[in-house]
Amino acid sequence: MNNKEYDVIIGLEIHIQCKTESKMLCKCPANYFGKDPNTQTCPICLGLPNTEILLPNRRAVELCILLGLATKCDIANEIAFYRKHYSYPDLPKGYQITQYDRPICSDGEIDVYDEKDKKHTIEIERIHPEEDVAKLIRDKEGNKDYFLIDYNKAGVPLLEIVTKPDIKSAYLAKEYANSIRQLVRYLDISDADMEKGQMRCEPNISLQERGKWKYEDGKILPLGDYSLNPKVEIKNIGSISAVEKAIDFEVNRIISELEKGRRIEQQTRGWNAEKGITEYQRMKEEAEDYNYTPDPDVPLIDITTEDIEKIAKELVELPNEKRTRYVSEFSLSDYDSRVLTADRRVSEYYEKLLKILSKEMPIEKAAKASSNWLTGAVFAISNEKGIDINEDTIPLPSLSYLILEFEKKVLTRNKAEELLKESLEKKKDLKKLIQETIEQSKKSIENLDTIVESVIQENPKAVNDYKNGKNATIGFLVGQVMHKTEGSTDPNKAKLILEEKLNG
Amino acid sequence: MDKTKKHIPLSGLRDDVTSKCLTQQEVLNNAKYTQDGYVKVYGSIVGDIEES
Ligand SMILES: [Zn+2]
Repeated sequence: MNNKEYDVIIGLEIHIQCKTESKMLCKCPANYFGKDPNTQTCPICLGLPNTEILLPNRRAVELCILLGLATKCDIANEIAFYRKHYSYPDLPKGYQITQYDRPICSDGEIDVYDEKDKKHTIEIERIHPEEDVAKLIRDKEGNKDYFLIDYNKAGVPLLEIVTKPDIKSAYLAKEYANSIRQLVRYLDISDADMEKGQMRCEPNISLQERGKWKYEDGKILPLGDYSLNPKVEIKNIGSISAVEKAIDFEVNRIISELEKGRRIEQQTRGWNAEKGITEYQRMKEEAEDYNYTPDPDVPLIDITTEDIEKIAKELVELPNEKRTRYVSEFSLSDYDSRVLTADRRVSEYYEKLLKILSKEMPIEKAAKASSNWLTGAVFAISNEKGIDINEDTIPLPSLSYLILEFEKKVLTRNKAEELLKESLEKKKDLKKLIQETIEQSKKSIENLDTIVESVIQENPKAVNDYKNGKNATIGFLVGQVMHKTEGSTDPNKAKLILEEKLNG
Repeated sequence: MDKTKKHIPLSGLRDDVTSKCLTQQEVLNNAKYTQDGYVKVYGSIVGDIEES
């Protein structure tokens, strides 16, 4: 047991599958989800002998530049593709087309917020496109190991996004992964569904003794004769929340190893979500273990300022920018702004709703009302029922009508929420439901009026007592109204009408 | 960077369009072993699956 203090140093490598039509170097469809194995391939992505690759997919390169622009990266004006050689059954050609020393995008950054909402800027080292590999299923036949291979995924364009080792906690690593997912979804680069393998996060972690290292030019350097502890990489992380859990587990494991005086080996470990632990997989390869060679078949590609300006037109207002604008323009809370901007489609829906409501009330009130209804009842019901929020499921004229009738106190909150739920659950027209409810309520008020009249006629003594100052008698008369309506009336409403008639 | 290598503009890269694929049968015809539409390869390789 030692009493040394350690700093946690995390870097994150994220792979995102691009939402292109075709693969990186051939014309096979890039969307293989739900397809039978080995039905989305051609001689190129199968790496059959004597087949020449096609030129890289321009859209994949453009999407890489788009993400680079959104993360404030420098964009290279000349790029080269390399072959990364290794021998494994998931790599049909025996090499993977990727980039090496000069990636398309470098030196970017993205802002994330910690538990106390303090801003941290995460530095991005590089973003480059490359090819995905085949899917392998590993099994045993008695003592014989084997792989089942599906080549559908081989050659699908990926974007590799690598941070510098400057993420200081598991929480920030999770927030960073979440921000990248948000960003690629906002920009329609990828659906980034981790369960479908469209996004993969691989953190690398090292713990160094406090005061014995420094961070310089994106690198961790030892001070004096301190020797750095090596990095541990974690794979098989299947969700954003698991990024935090896996890192937390690994940090604790490394600390306990160090405290026992053991050396940490550079290694790759796999996250076992079921057990909530990381498990040893193999010694980690250094970049030098792979043989990188310039691809002789892919020419150098020139990227001009005009190319970049054209791609920049696809930049939309990004989540962090939107969030700041909601706070300053609409006086929304930071929390509400964050919730509303998490998904681009939700934020667009919100702004349309707000536009309609602001014609009927001051903008700040409309902003607050739209936010309250969306983040409250609408989110709750859509989460519970697994319903997507869009203009088809909840038409804007209907929801704005509901909110306005609630604001005018024609509908109570409970009633309004009940109608919203009914329309979503039973796919009923919300506007019609609201109109029917208002109509019914008008009728029941007319009915109530007649009933109150008859109660007054039938109870002259109580009426007299009330008029002579016995105010408590009103309770008896309300009771009579409730009796006649079989309890279906709001007693407060009955009391109001009685008082109006007796005092008027 | 190799100065002698051919340069092309970004616009000269391939358009993002798809074309016909091989059938599963055509793919499996090239394989020594197959199982349920997959290519089957025997062998034991140290370490786990390298994803990308
Ligand atoms: Zn192909």
